[in-house]
Amino acid sequence: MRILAVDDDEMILELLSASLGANGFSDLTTASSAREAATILTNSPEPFDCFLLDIQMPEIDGIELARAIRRSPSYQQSPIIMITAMSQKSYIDRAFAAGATDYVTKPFDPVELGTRIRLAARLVDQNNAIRDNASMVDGLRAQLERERFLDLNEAIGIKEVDGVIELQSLENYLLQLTRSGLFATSIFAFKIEGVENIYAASSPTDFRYLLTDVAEAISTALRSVERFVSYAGNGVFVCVAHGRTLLDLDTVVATANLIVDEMGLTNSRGMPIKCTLRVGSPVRVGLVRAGRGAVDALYVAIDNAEHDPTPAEPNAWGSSSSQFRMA
Amino acid sequence: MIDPVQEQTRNRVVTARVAEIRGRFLDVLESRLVELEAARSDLEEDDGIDHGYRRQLIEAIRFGAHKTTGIAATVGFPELGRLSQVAELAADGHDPARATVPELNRLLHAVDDMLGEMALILIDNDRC
Repeated sequence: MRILAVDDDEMILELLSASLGANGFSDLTTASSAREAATILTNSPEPFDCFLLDIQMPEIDGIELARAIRRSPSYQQSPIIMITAMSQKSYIDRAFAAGATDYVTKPFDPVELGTRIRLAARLVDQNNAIRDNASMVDGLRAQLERERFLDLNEAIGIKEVDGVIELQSLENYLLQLTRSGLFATSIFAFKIEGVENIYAASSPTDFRYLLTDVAEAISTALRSVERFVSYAGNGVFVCVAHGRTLLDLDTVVATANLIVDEMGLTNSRGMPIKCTLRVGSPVRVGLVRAGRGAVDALYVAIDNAEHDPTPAEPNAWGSSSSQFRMA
Repeated sequence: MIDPVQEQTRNRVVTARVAEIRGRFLDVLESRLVELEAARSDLEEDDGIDHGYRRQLIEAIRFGAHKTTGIAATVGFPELGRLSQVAELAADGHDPARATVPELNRLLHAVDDMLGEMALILIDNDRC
């Protein structure tokens, strides 16, 4: 695995080299600034597989560099691990929004870092397998289009929608938040009603487009708060929102549905797609422990969206419980 | 499945490299202590220092503390890592044009704690 590490501290680069070398990752290139990294990326005959970026560097910081790397088509799937002494939430938020996939705070344990890199290597292997198969997939595209190669339960990544990141990245993000960072955080999920019917009537391509449009609608409806949205499979979008302002989920879901209506969704044959969202009961993360507990809360929210009765049904959770202060 | 023998070998290699880097860290710490002492001393001066120069001094302190925070604990000095982070956070956002005397004193105390720990480490490691 070819790794590019960028840090303005030479000793940190040496530590990275020691940790990665001991873990069998010896193909490491280092740069002491974002500019030097950009030059290396431009001139490298072979692409890199993984990036380790310090956040606080003079001139151009690691977050800007992550954003620039993500803009390159070659690196849209590559793991980007941010390494920084700063553990404040605003840095973490900006890093993930810029395309980071994982986050390690300095001082780091060289042994633990090796574990994180092995996880990244697994992701690279998966991406390579997908890329290796891409040419074959291209040849069989017409045939595959008629078949169901997209599983309804698959938590596919949705690209190029503001605030939307992959589910695995969202988990990593939550794992890194401290208890105080979690205090003003809420998690809730939206479900596309009757998604099984929509899925059955759609080609995989149409279904992907639909998910992208719905993600756009949800992210837009939540634009007044800091948020991350991920697709969790089975028509469920899970959202992590920060802020102390009153967030009325009934209004949010109504806004998202209005945006979806205005999009006038159709499939590739021009047939209209009827798509309505409902929202599950929110989970107040401030009441759970940090770390794995926050990730568990993510899945509680997903489960709520899957299984909460709709508001029209008896015993449905009422509008009062969907209005909560996020703190 | 993790092979315990492989894991032990890996940890030994990492520990040996960290020990090498620790020696280099102590070298850097000597010069960093001198630079930060000078910046701290200038910052305490009352007369003839404009806000622009004070900002430069605070940025120099913040940057030195930031560099120390990032590596101190990894090479075996967790207390220095902690005190450096306190100093970095105190310097971060400190505006000399607006800061009150108690705020400046808090910053200076945080820097003193960090510098004191640096000096102790250098003494303990026969660098002074």
